[in-house]
Amino acid sequence: MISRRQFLTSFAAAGSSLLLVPSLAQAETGSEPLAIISAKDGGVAELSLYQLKRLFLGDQIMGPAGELIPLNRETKGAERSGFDLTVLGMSQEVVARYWIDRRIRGQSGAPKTVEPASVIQNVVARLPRAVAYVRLREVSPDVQMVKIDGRKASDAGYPIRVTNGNTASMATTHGQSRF
Amino acid sequence: MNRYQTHFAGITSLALVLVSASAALGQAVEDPAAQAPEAPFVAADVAAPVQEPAPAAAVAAPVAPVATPAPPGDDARAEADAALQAIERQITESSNATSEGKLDIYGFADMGYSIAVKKFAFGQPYNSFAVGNLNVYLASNLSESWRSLAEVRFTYLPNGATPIDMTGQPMRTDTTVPDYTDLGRAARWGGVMIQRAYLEYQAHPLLTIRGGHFLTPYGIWNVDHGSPVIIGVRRPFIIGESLFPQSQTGLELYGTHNIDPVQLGYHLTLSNGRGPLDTYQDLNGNRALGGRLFARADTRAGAFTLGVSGYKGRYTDRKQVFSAASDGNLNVEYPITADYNELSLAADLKWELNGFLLQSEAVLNDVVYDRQRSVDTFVVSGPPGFIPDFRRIGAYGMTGYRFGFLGTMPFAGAEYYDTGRAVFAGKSAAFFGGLNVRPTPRVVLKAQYTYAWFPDSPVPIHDDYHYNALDLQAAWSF
Repeated sequence: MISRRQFLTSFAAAGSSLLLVPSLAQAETGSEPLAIISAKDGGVAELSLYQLKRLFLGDQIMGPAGELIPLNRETKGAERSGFDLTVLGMSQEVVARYWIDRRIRGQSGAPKTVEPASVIQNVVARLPRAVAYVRLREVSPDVQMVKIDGRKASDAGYPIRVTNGNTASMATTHGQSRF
Repeated sequence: MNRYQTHFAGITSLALVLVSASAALGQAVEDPAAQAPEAPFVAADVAAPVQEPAPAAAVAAPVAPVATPAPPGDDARAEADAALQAIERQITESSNATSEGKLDIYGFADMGYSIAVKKFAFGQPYNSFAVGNLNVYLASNLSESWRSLAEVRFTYLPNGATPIDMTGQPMRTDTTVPDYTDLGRAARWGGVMIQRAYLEYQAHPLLTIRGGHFLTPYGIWNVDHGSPVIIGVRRPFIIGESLFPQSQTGLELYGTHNIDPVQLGYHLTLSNGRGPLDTYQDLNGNRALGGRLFARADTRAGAFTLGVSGYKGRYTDRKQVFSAASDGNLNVEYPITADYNELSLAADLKWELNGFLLQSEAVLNDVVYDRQRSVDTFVVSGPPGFIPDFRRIGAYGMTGYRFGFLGTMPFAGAEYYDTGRAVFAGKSAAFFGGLNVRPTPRVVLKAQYTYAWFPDSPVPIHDDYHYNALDLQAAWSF
């Protein structure tokens, strides 16, 4: 038979798990910015954070050269977890659910993943419709930085940042769902 | 085994499934997003760009195509160039999940255990395991703008289906046949239901043209019909009651437009409408028209989606009659056996804020007979007559909160349905609640308790007419 102590301990553990997890993880303002990049020739020069989010959630967004093509980074990387959290407002777990659910609805799948930063920049430089992201210090002279809500990655208040990869806690911006 | 032991067995089964899922959680936490059906570019033979050797940290990534910096020189540059072109081709030929022409096969399935908490006069009294849906998707991007999707459901039906026969008694369908591959031993065959099959052309974000058999774009859970996506064990009762046709065959146009932070969207449908053969034959000259408008706003108070939908069509059933004309020629006639106009309207609302969800749908369906009326087989009092015009109406609301711990979501809701006719169970209401646990993105474990009753029924109601059940379900996508 379960003892009173066991019962109370289990209850406390379960309760604390449920209560602690939904704490909001704000973007780490001290962490490294992630630059959104596009081709220098004909690439999109400016997007709103909302457009960027919709683009990487599977919506069609038009650029000067046609429908934009989002390119993602590898799922385990800090760039990806930072992007997911600060742009999509989702943890990696929630992002995974999002794409699975979307396919069950019969909608398109997730953007393609290209690594590393050097290769993705070479691809972006040659594809005017491509949009991707790299750390600010890794930005190549062959690509242009896309302004997000009028700000470049080097500007103060720029919201898109690398995180330490710990996105187990939930997200954040614009009330994004967790479903 | 008494009822309590049976309940215990069912709950124990779910607990075992939960424990197994928890064991798998370690992996999910380590790499949850790796389970997403992304389309990683995998090109092991791609050389690194000459000018920018890959950083060591990035090389460690499992999908990283680059292992070592290529040596400088024209050959290396040419090789890198070719590799980049290969990546570009993959990306531009198909910006979505599948490469051009390749068939993407995936799907979902569910199994469950139903417990009749209390005897229900019109339900099975025995608790049962069941495999519910086994749906397979066949998707292909035919080019950057053309895409095809087919979804089929494999089912054990029609074996065991019990339609009511002419005497009013249920008559079980038996599909047992001798299997010639196994010395004629008994085998039961099942069926395949085509859920949707269409081709679509994406002209612009504002216009995609879809042709074929598609799910009617109304509300929230007619399109979100997959068991891993639905929060409860099954969709609310009114969604399954087909106040709108669940699917149609014809054309659908849809598109979206973003006005930061609002997304506006529309769907327009032109189809055969509803009918006994609607997936491949229209038995009248009227096309059905339908549509949906929605707006989704991402605000700091959450994401709000509001939608309205409509459908107008004419149902017609006919039979084919051959007869000999006086001049000896064969006459073929198609007399109507059932015919009515229908108008359906719906509204839906969804509010998501972090883990919180509130959603509701209300649906109405008007049926008007302007000439041919069927004999009313459900008369409960008075002389036999014909089916009157009627209005069906229903609504549900539910709320829940998804915690981070095991993706656990307690949910609860209520629903109401009025068939618009004075028959037994003409009105029904229900409360439901339960737990949706998503230990990994691909696996969903659910437990739902439902209590339903039938207010204002014209026939006497006693306790056995109250539905009182606990359903457990494991749903997964693959």
